[in-house]
Amino acid sequence: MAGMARYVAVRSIQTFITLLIILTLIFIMFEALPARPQDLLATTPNMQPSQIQFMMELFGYDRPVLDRYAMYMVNMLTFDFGISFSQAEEVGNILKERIPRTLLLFGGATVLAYIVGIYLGALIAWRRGGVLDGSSVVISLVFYNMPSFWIGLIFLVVFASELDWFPLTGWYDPTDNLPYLVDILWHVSLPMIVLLLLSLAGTVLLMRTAMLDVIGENYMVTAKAIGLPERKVLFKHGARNAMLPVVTSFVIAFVFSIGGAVVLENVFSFPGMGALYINALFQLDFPVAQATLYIITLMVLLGNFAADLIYGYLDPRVRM
Amino acid sequence: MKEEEEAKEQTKRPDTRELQEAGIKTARRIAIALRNTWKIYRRSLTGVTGMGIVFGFLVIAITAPWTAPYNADFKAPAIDTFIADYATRDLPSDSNWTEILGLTSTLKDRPMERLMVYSEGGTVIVYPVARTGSGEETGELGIDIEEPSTVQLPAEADYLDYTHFYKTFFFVLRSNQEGDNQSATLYEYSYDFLYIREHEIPFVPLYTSNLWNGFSPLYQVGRLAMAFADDHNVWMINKRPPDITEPGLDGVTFTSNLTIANATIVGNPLVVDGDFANGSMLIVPTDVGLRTYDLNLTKSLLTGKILNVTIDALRWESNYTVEDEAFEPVVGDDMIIFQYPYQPTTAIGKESVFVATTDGRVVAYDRLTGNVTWSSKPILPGIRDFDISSLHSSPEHLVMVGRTGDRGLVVGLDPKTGRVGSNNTLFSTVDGYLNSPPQYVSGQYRFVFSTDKGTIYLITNEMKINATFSAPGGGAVTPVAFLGNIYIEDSKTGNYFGVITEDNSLFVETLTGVNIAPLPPGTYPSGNYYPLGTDYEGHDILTQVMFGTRAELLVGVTAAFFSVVIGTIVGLVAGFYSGFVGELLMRATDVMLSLPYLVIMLLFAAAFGPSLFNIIIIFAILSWAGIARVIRSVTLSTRKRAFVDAAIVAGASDMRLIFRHIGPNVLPFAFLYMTFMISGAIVTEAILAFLGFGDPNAITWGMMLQYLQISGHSLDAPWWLLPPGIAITLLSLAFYLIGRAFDEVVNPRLRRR
Repeated sequence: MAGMARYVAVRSIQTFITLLIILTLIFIMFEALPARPQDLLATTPNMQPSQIQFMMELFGYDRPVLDRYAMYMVNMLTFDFGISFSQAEEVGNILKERIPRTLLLFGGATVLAYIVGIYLGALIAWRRGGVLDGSSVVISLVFYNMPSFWIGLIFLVVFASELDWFPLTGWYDPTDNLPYLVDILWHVSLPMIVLLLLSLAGTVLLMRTAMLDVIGENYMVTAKAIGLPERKVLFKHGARNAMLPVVTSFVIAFVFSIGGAVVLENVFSFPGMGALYINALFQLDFPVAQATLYIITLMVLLGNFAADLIYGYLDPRVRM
Repeated sequence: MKEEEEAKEQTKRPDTRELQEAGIKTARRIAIALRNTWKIYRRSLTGVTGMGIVFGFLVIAITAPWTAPYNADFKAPAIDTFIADYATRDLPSDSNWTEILGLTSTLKDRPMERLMVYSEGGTVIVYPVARTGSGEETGELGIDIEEPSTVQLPAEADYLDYTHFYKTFFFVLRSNQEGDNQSATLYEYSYDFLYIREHEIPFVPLYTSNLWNGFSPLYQVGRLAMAFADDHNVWMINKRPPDITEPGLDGVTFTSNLTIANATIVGNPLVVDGDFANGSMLIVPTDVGLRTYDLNLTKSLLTGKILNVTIDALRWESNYTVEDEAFEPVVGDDMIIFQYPYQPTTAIGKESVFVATTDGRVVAYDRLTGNVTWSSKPILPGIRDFDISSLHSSPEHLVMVGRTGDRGLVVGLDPKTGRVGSNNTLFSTVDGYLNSPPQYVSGQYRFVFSTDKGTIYLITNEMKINATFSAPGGGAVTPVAFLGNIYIEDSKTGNYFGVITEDNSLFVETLTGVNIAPLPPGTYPSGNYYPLGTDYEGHDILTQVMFGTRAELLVGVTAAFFSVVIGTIVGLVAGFYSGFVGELLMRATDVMLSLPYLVIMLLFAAAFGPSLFNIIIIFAILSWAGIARVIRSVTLSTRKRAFVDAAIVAGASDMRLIFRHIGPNVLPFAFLYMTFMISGAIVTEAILAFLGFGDPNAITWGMMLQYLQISGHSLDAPWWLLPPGIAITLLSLAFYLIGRAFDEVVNPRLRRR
């Protein structure tokens, strides 16, 4: 167990250093924007002079670049994001409302995609060459290469507009006469299904390849030869080992999925982080754009970290 | 790649024949390798399918100008897309018609009663108009142009305008340049052209002010004022309605003069009068700054009504500086403008005067004190460079007209702050420079203007394009004029605009017709067949998809190429120098891999502005990490092979080892990942474009879908939604399939599956 503890400690430090590097990159990118925050503040009609003063002091927009950098790092690491330029509201409050929504949407889709994808990928590899294999591969390939927003639009047209099974937009509608949580789930389901399908495609293809690698191994042949039931051979011996590379690729899937969530939130007018981020970029709302980007990155890093832990648990060798 | 290097070496040492032979040998070896690769490759059905699809798109991209049904910038004619009422009249062909005016009457909503055109020879034709039709088709009544009458006015007039001031008056200015006698005459006509009054101006005017009309129909009082100026002189005319105690029914006209000796006038003066006290003024732009003169009102002791207005003392003077920093004003006809910030009744004394600067800023002066209230450089997301050509007032916004590249620009600014609306979105670009001011269409909250390409635009109060028009018969030769509507009792016609067309006829059309685009596939009144329908601006979908192929292939291949080049170099170096440098590069690669790249790409796109080139660069910068990893592992294994050791023993330099010996062995992998990258770049471009960060000047499939989304037709125009998405999926899939098939060639282990 000591090995695991050391592994967790090393990974935590690495994740923290990566976070610092990424925060620095975000700072540099915002510095590179042609618009300067103090100019934007000077022409903001929504904010009180006291709020403007507060923002100037918090982020030191008129200070030299190194001071600004230090203030920014401290603010970000203490989650002190200041006040939104466009809404004159604390960024923390805006985010508090939106983070759970996005987490539900893309967290749900990613986890579901992994559970279903690993099962399906193992299954079609097992029955390779069959109709199920062929059609799944073709469908996965097509979904894998489809632009996310387009398939989102098509689902919107077919299932929300034409068939009217799902609401067109939003997060919660009190006029629906549904219990609060049910109504939210009903609103989330269509974007989540689309995101699930998109994420599923990659996982299925990857799992299928990994499983094909494993099937030829001697221990699989042995397992079959000693007369174990097929299900046991497939899932206990095959899938568990084939899962390793799939779990490694969790980072990539996670990154892919959050990108998908940002795009789909805009298609479905889903009031989450992605929609907020795009709006903030258009309105040059620096504090909101900065904070959203930071939180999204943090989510990815934490997801990454979790995947590493799972990997360390599944494959004791990596703890070394 | 290999051949190129051979060629390079040959130019370096052309005298060594051995090298040449070696080159030929290498070329032959490559040819054999290629043939063998193809032998394996063609067994992969997916690979051949992918190749076929890519080849098909390539053919479409190359032949698009000849095979596409229409040109790249084709728009369906208005007859197909727009149900509007229009009328046209041929004009006598012996004159050049230079002016078109729509005369409004006294009734509310200022309905149009007559159309009037002026020729250089002085002939004016007046067409009475009447409403017609049942309005069944368009929901509005139509227009009928009736038999005209002709009036002779002074020929070669420099200025012609009219205003409704208790009754309508025309003003015509004509300069008399005979030898040293430089003067001009201002003719004042009544509505029926029966009453004429002449005023002598002692110089030839270069600048004309606004026609200030402060008439109140309710109390039958008010003033009309207008000024003319040359380099140093201002001449002002003012007029008041007749008083019942006075003889004559045509009112009284006064004139006054001003000479500015120590500065040169550089633009149109501005008359700002009104019914409020202490605020009537004349603003004159000079080469050293703005000068403002009070207008002195003489009141009748008996009735308290204003009798006369004269130019009085200098009120304020403000040179062209903001916070002690000098700026260069945009000098031109509409150089300074004046605007109420909100509703006029609540804003007395809070009005501003605006000047645009040559470096793209707008400066607002308090009109009573001349102090700068704000100065702002409008922020237009996606547009980095623009020039301001003029400013215009409107009830809600300060409208800024400018140029960016070869496109015109209209921007709505908040008169209070100078911001481009609350979210920097109140602007549009149009297909040429504006040749008319944006004219406010009252009641419709829209603006109408035309460009030097002859397109007439109707834009919303949010500065978004609402409809475009083009005149028949070779297009318009005059800028567009907003004419108004015909209003009789409870029913009215739509708002009309008018132009004179190239085939010398008068053309008027409603702005309020019904735009029925996007059109579903089919044949339309113009005889055109749109196989996949059109978008909301009337672009043929099939044509757009075909031309879009070019940009997609360009972006896909170039972006992927650069990202593969970066990734390969990083991977090679990291693999070769496996010590500190390699470790550092790999840590960087890991950081890149764990970045939410799409989210960051959006920030880059916002920072660098939307263009295809920027999208290519952004993609290359953010997507190399995956390749670097693979190339590094291949490099590591290649480095251990015997021929590398042999080269080291032979004394090869590091560079030579990396690029000459290891490089060629990792190239197949680089090529493999390039196909995957192309597939990714195509989808990424589409996503960026869809979210509003695409190149507005390029036809791409992503932009087609973005227009679909922002035009609000995403749920009701499947003929527009499906083709671009299918094309993106197909092309991206095709490159992906090529990659998979190639993967089997490079990794023979996979082949048995």
